[in-house]
Amino acid sequence: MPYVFKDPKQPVSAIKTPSAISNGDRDDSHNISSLLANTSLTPDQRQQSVHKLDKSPLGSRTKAESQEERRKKALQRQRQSRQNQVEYARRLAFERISASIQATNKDFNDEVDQDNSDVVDDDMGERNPSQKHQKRTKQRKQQDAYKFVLKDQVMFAEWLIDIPEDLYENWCLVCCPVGKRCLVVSANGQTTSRLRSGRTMNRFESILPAGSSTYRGNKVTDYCILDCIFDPVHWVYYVLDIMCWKGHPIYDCDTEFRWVHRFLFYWRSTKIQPEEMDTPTQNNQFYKFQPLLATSTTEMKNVLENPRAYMPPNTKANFDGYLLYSRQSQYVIGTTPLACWVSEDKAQELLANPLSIK
Amino acid sequence: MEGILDFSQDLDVSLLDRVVNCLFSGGPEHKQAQQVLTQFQDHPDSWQRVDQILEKSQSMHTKFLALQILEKFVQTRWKVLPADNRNAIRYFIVNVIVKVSSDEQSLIREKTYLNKLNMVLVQILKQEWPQNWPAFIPEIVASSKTNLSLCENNMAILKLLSEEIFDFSAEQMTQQKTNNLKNQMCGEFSEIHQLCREVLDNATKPSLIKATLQTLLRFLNWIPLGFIFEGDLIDTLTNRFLEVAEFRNVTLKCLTEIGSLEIQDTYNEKLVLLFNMVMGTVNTMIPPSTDIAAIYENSSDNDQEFVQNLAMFLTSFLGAHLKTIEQAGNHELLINAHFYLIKISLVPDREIWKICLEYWSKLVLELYEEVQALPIMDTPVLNLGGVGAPSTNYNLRKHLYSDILSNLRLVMIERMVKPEEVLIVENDEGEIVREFVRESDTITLYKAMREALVYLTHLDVNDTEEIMKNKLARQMDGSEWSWNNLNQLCWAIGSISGAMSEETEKRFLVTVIKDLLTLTEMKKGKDNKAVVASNIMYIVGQYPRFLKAHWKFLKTVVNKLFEFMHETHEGVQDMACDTFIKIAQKCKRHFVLQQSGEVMPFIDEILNTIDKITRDLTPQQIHTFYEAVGYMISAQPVKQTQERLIVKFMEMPNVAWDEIMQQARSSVDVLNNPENIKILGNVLKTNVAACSSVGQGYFVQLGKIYFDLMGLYKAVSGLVSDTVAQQGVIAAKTPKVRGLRTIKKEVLKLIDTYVKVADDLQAVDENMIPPLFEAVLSDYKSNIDVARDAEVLNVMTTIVKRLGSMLTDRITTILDFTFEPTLNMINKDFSEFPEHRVGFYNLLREINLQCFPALIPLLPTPQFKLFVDSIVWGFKHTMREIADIGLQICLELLGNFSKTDVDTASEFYRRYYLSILQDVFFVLTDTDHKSGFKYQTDVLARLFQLVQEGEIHTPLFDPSTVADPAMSNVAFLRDYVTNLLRNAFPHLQPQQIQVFVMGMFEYNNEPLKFKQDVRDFLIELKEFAGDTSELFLAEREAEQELIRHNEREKLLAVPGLVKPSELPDNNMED
Repeated sequence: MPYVFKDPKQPVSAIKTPSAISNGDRDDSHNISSLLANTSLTPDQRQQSVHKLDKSPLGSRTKAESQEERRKKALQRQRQSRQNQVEYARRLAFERISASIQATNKDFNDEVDQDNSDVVDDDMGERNPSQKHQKRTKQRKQQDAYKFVLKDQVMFAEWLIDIPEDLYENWCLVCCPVGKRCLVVSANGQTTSRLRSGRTMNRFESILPAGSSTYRGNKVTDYCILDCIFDPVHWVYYVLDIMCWKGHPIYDCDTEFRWVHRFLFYWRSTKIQPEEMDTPTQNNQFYKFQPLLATSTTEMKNVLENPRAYMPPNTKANFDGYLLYSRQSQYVIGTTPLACWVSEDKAQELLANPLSIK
Repeated sequence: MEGILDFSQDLDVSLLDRVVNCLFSGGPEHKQAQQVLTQFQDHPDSWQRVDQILEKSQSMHTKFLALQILEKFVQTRWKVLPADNRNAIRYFIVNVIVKVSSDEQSLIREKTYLNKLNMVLVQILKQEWPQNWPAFIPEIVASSKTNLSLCENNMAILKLLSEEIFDFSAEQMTQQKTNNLKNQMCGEFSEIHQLCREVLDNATKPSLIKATLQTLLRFLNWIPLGFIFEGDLIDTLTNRFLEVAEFRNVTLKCLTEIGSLEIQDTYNEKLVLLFNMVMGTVNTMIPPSTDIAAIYENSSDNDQEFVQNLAMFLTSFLGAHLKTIEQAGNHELLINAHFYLIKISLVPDREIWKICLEYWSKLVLELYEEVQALPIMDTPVLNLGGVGAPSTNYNLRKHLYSDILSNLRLVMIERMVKPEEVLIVENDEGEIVREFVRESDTITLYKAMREALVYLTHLDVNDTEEIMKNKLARQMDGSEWSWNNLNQLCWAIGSISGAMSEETEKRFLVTVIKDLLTLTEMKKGKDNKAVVASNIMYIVGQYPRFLKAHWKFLKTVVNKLFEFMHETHEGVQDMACDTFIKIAQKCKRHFVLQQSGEVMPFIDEILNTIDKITRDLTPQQIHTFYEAVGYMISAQPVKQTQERLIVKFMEMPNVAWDEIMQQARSSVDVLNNPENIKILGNVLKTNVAACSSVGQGYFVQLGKIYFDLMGLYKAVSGLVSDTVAQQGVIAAKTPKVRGLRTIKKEVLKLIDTYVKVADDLQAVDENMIPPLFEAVLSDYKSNIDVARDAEVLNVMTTIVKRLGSMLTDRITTILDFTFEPTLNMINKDFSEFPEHRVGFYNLLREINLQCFPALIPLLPTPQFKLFVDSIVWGFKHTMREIADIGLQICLELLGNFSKTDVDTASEFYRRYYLSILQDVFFVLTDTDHKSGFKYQTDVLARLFQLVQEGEIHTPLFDPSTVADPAMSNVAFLRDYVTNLLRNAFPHLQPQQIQVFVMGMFEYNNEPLKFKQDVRDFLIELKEFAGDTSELFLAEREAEQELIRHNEREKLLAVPGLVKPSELPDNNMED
């Protein structure tokens, strides 16, 4: 059996390096002492580089890497899975997760990151879809693996262009208020919300498990990750999706049962079970959390007529648009055609008479 | 909607469906739906509706809910039902499962529903099998042969059952039950085995095969080895399934599982064969020239998973059987496998890397230890000569792997991660400050990689040096230049400090630094230069040995750092301060001695220009700077000289201090000025920083300002109280009051810091304590809750700890001013004022440990009752930290009293023994307090021990209330506890309680057995339906602590493995 193959690392051909001949102790250290003394950071006149805060490893190290801590918990959970993957199946009552998680270390590259331009940005409904028109190229398929990158941790919808064929069977509808799309993580007694770019939007205390210093349960293991829309005027976080609740990740379940779980969790939590959420105190009640509700697409007509009724009661923010989710999709991090955004003004055109398009 | 709650009528299932629909789809009735469904679920009879719901409901959500209700019922109240009902439910569930799973369409469509049904069935099995359902295994095997879809689902059931018994049982079933079930399953396995083999050999339906393989995977870690190794299971797996895309992942997992079994030497040949076969297939599927890392990103998920599984296979197999494969002789195969692992190590996925790293660490350690074991005289001198040195005379294993190791060195560098992490937080004054993260995934990963690199360096210094130099050259010529690449290389270089001999290290460093300096010159733009410069500083900070040997260079470095402290470019100042303090800590002596060629010790130069150096730094950076210089001063052995230095050192802050103090003497209003408040806060923080590093010598500075400190504290306290009195509680949140409180906190912190390091405790006692108590204690008591500083409690605790029995006569005073005021803040709930809470319990603990005699006279008073009450309150907390302290205080208190005279002890037991016992039982059996298990059982065991050993010389009971006044405490306790438990848990069998109580008497001297006895009882209580892992928390932590301890011992033995900053200080070596 031929096992011979190339050594992946070819020996490097000798490259001349300016290393001086050593003449003994004193010389060496004197040499480098004087070299060091003459070193300066002042750039020459030609190039004044504009300093990009986010790109400097010295500066942004702190902001970006602070997420490492939270990721550790999620990764720890996954790492346990390879030794005890059974526990996943157990806890989720589903097939075993066999996904691998990536936590890339790509923060300090001086390459500019390419943005996906056909995606709905943090402020939903702001971009003009015609400028970002792009054919849907991906196949719709279930994905097992998912990636964690510093940015793009939420499932981003594409602008709705084609009506899905199985719109009435396999999709559901969420009415979204105006606000900033963000990822909310509660862990270690603190709650943090982050924008799509990875930049921290806010740090505060909340009644989510592990989200405030007064949380009575285990702040380390009871972390939660939620996909939210933030209404800055009324200080409310509207919960779109729950990816992880009290240390249990549920990315890989399809929408249907993720939402079953989500609503069961939510439902239990609003009973104010002491062990679920935190006891409300002065400090942790400033920002409210309200789940958004999913409606079956069969109700489309009713919803289009009065979308406000299908947002949570007492929602003060204005209605912004509809998110369509494929029921069978798992939670996908990054852009996906398995979720589609329809802004309010386009809704009548696209959704009221779906048969007329195509 | 309420219709569904009427349990006297038949359930209207369609109404239920509608209600559930309301819940999930929003609309106006959502909230009502939620309430009604909650009540429905909680109703004790709701389980009786489940069959109708499953039959008639049209909504998947509803059915799912129904199954949850049933599942909970089975787990908690199954035994209450008569046999007929149990059988009825059993048959019903089985029928539903059979119906749904017999049809291929519904098998697929209703997959999740079916899974839930399977789970419920398995819960039933756990209760009923084998006693009441002896034929289960034959039945399920037989039914599998009738229908392929049914067979597939049956496999899933068997898999779940196996998991329940073998993987999760420890925390959910009593020991005895677990053993019974395990034996049963093993005994009946042969039928299951046959079924599996039939499927694997003959079936063609892919989903069935897959389900069977997945079930087999679950079985592999417990079935008798004969089933695996005698026979052709391994052959079937490798030949029939490994190369098929759909099955290869689960098959590889099976083979991995087999490869990681512990088998002694019996089946070594089979294992070698397995390895050969698998590697053969792998070479075909992924040709050796494939660049796995490059194609990984764009591969399908199935492929990515395969790569991870391959990593698992290789690492666990080689990890367990490396020597076996070596001895089998096929070295080409061995190297081939390792090269695959090298390729996989480059895949950009952290989890996969961690898997690989674990193995690599093991390998390099083994190879290193082999070299170490050589007789000393013959140890090849690793530093001199070329590669073909005397070491080749020896048949060392490492030679076999030399190519691999060389590649591994490169991989390590290219995957290096950041050694330190910083968090941005907001402090009390609303400023943004930096905090170093202590534990994180990255830091753990760095430590592991550092260790591996150190071993790799020891294994071949020349190669390591060569590779690092080459990487550096590629930075210089631009071919691999990038910030990240340079950082990684420098972190790697920094990580092996101490691993080379001093000579080699010196030459190496000189080259590296020179090149990096050249690189700094070459690069254009401040961004780039700053990055290179930071890396240079990082490296020199990692090599204190080199710095200590080359004074001129050390001096240049420090001067350059001082230069950088004026640099406005982002991050440079922070980097400079961080490096400065690191170097100051490790090389401190060199700064206080006069070096040759210098006219004065460098410390004097620093002190002469300290204001200039720190002119452009932020307050936090200045504090770091002062702490750094403090280390240097602490190294001055001559007391007088040190004093002189300290005086000079604190000149600047003292000037600012004196100025404000002067003004304040004429007008207290000076303290209302926010600018002054800020200055004072910073001056105090500077003092704290200096004190923490200078140590005992700081006394000369403290003495100077102490009087003013106390005065300031009093004045500020007055201001705070006045402001709060005028403006109400809300004033406590205003920036001004927060600033004033910072001053108070920092004063306390300063005293706390000093007392921790003080030598002359007598002086502390005589000079510091009286004015401190006067200024601080009554202010604490008279303040409103929100204005009290937890730091008061902390400093009191430190004082008690250090002064110990000297303080006994003043304990009552301390308690008078702090005990009840604090208790009243924290006894309303379990969460408010968390810092005071912790401080309070720490203080009580310390008092009990150090000044117990002060508590004895309090025994008959109501204060003592409050004291015990607050301890009990402590262990009722669910917050683990507090509960643990509370329990420990209790334990220590019991210990203390047991050592006093008989009269005192007896009075204590008479008053408090039974109530403590009751309270401990309460938290022990309450689900919210699971995490306190370890200490709860410790206290309980002690209580039983006291009675058992006859250490209690007074009846615990009131003789007039019992039948036999001459009864012993032992008999009384037995009856008392038995009754207590019987009343609390009427659903338990008397025998269960009896066994438990007996166990407590018998095992109170053996902690492990005692804990097991309690654990079994708690499981029986079935109060722990969910996560019982906390019951094992103590064991796990002890295990981890042991591992950590052993690792540290091991690390200290190998040069270079312990970071220079963490090495124990050895003054001699300077």
